[in-house]
Amino acid sequence: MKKDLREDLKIPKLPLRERFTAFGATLALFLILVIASLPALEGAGRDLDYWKNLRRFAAQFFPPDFSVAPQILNALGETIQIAVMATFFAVVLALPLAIAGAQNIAPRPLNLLTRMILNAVRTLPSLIWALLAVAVVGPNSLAGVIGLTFYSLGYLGKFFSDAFESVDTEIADGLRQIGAGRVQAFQYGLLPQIKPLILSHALWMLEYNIRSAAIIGYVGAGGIGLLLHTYQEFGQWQKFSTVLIFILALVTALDFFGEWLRKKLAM
Amino acid sequence: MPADGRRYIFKAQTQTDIAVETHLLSLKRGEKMLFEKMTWQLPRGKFLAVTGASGAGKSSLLACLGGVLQPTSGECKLAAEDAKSIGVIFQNFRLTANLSVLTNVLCGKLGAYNWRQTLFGFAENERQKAFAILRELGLENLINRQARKVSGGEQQRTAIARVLLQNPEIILADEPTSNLDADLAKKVLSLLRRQCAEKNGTVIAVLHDAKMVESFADYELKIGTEHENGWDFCPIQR
Repeated sequence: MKKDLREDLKIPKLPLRERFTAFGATLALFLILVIASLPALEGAGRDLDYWKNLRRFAAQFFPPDFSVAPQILNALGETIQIAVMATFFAVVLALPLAIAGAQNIAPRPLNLLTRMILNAVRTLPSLIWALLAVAVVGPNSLAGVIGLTFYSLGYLGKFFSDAFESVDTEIADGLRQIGAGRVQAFQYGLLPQIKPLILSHALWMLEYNIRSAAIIGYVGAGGIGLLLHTYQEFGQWQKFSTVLIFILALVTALDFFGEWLRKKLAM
Repeated sequence: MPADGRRYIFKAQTQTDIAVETHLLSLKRGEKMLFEKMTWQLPRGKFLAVTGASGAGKSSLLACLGGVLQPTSGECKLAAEDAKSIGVIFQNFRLTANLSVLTNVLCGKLGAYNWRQTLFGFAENERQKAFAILRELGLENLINRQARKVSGGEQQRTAIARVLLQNPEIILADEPTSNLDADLAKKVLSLLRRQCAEKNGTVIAVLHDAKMVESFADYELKIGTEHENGWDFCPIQR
């Protein structure tokens, strides 16, 4: 067989340096980081029976105590309200910020300033925003709304901005060419193109906020988290597990609904 | 950019009965000279067909006339008030895919209103005018369908309906019948022709079919290396 190989059809091999792509470099770097991070697995250093601990702790969750279902449903309702309001405010505030941050729409200095603000907002996790809000407005659901609004704003601002940058500006340019003003070209040429993306991102944020709203109650920002915190403090693990079941049910339902809606939006 | 384009639109600098004129217009693409010293005048109310092989420079000429491409030298003058007086049928239609066929047609009227007037939609009389044009083009059953969900030919007719609703003084049409069958192509060219006859509009259209050129155009501008300086402007003999 080797005899049949023609010299002129020999595929040239890439030199080693060119074969070392960005992907390869990233993978190598990540492997180095994994090895360097092995000490994180050492734990307390004491001779503990992890499985026994887990079994003992998990056993306290059963059977779940459904007698607290009315309180849970009430708190879950508040959690959804917090998430909905935060998502609404974040969408409203993120849209103008996204326009200012989009390189193909707004001038460069405004882009940089807006992106800097959005980056700064995104740096803090939702729990810290909620803590700050609790310090300002007290431990209630409003703190949750404020905390999650800021957190969501950082993400939605970036997502919307990227969405604006990804659209074809040729259509808006065409409208400008036949006499449309800037606002009109934006409204009729750009915005309709990214509407499905805006809805999809907003929906994702809502799902995320409902999950987050379950946690921020830990720092006093209202919702189901407050209940979780209380049951944990008093060691009422059977009630605690009931809350977890309700959260799981809500999040699963939300996932299915989100998936269904996203499919509809894409049609 | 359209905003830049407006720099090259000259308000009524041509003679009163001349709608479009070029003077010593030359255009290079890379190192290749497409045409040079192109000089012609097109009277108001006339139909000019631009013909030539692919890559000859027909679309580039239209881009020059539309003010989106700076010529290498020379100038073109359009006797139009402003950008909204020049209608364009783009080769790739440039419709907003997620908007309905009707709204896309109504976009032809954006220049006639300020943004506050169109923020919540268009006036009923404009909607009715748009519907009448769409009916004439056989698209009355598709008015509420998103532009992305209609066929290429239907999209092209939507783009034509948009320019007809705009009712500009000058129409620049880049292959307006490329996706249409012979009957529809005739229908569309008849409508553009009517724009010339009834509204004293001027049409410059890139066409490929010699029969269509003979039937509908008043003048023909041939572009290609086989002609002296890469162009030839002549009236159609009927």
